[in-house]
Amino acid sequence: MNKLKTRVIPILLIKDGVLVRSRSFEFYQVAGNPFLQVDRFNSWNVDELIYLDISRNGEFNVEDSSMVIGSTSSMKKHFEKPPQNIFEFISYLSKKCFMPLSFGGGLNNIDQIQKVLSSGADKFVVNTAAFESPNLISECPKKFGSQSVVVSIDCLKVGDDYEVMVEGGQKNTGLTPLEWSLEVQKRGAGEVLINSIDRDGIGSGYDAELFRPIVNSLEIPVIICGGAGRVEHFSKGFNEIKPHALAAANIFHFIEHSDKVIKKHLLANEVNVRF
Amino acid sequence: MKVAVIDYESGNLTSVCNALEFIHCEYTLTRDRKQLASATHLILPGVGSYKGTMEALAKFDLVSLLSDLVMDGGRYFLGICVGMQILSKKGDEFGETSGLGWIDGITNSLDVKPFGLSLPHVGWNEISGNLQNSKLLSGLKEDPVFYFVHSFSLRATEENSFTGYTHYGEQFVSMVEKDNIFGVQFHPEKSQQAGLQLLRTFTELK
Repeated sequence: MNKLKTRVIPILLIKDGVLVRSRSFEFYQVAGNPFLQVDRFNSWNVDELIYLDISRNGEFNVEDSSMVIGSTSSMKKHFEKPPQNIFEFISYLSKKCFMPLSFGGGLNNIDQIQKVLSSGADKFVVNTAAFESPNLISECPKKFGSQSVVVSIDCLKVGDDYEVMVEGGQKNTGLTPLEWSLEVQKRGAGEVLINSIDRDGIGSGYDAELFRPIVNSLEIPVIICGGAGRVEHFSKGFNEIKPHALAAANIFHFIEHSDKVIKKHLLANEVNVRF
Repeated sequence: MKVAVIDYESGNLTSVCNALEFIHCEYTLTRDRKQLASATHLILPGVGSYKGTMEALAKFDLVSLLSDLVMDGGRYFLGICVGMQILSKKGDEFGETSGLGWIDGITNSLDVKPFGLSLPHVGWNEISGNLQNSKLLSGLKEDPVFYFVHSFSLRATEENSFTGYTHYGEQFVSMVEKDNIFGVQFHPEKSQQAGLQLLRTFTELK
């Protein structure tokens, strides 16, 4: 018997210090200051939080955020000194987050990863670096435990097949999602996060054709993401794909009380989730 | 009421400390003998291996002190994750290591391969058993579902005040309560409201 719960995981995208939504990996701004909403995210009835910094300039720029949002009185009230870099940001996030917290975005070396974890993240997420530095993932399980290693894999439909893209969907690796998932599992990843570039932000539901073969072939947990636009997509996605976790980005910002609504819906459809 | 979190230099004592601060529970993070002796409630967060944890406790000369305080001195003790596992007489992770021996039973690996599952057991899972006998679960407003990440389990053998079970392939002991000694295999500091409530309940035990 296995009573392990299926997880529901919001992915919070931060670009240049601001919370954003995405569509096919192009990004639009949500009037969102991540700093002021952290307590709200932490109080959601979800099972984990994944923060991904998708800034292109390679650095988490808090000053940009302050410029965009302004040094408002609410920022001043909240912080004596706002976080100056991603590590301080993670530390700030983790102080009041009492569920597993993952952080990723441009991570490409062991020292950075070490700092992400010691700042308070439970897991780190790597994408492009896993492909470009073959030894990176294999070093991590020994140092940090395999359960802290999440490999994120972005997938684009090309003709009848799917291909793994890196560098924010810009560069083709020549690998299929299944091939690459099996390879990173072999190298010691604790989990994989599979993203559908095509379905991203479209809101048409999870792509079973992409996700199912990976879920069926891997021993490690698979988190699926991309396409959940309505609450019903969660139960449909679970029933068709049976992933360990259902993740989504945009929907959590656009439906009132989405966390409770989604969980209630899954329970009503007899999916074993925590409520 | 004085709470001490035992500082044996393992990584990630921070999460437990953050949780105690969040529930407005004053605590000391220490391995100083006097401070530990003056505490009424002791918490041992566990990260890492059975062997590593016992070696660290031995390095700081805490093993017999803790036994005196808890087995003779009646201090409330909460062991989390590996902190629960070392309550056993021995564990076999990385070779055989002696544990604190306060709870009958040995600690060994979960046996999940026959069920087609893999280790570690990671994620949210529920506690079953005679829940009304549990002091730690008594304040809970929600279902006893908590966050686990582990590969080993304490196979408690004797009749304790309360034994909680969890299913992951096999059924294993995930909570144990014996008089003033409490062990939880899961991480209350990562288990949202249910976990925070459990910590609060522990620190308020009289």
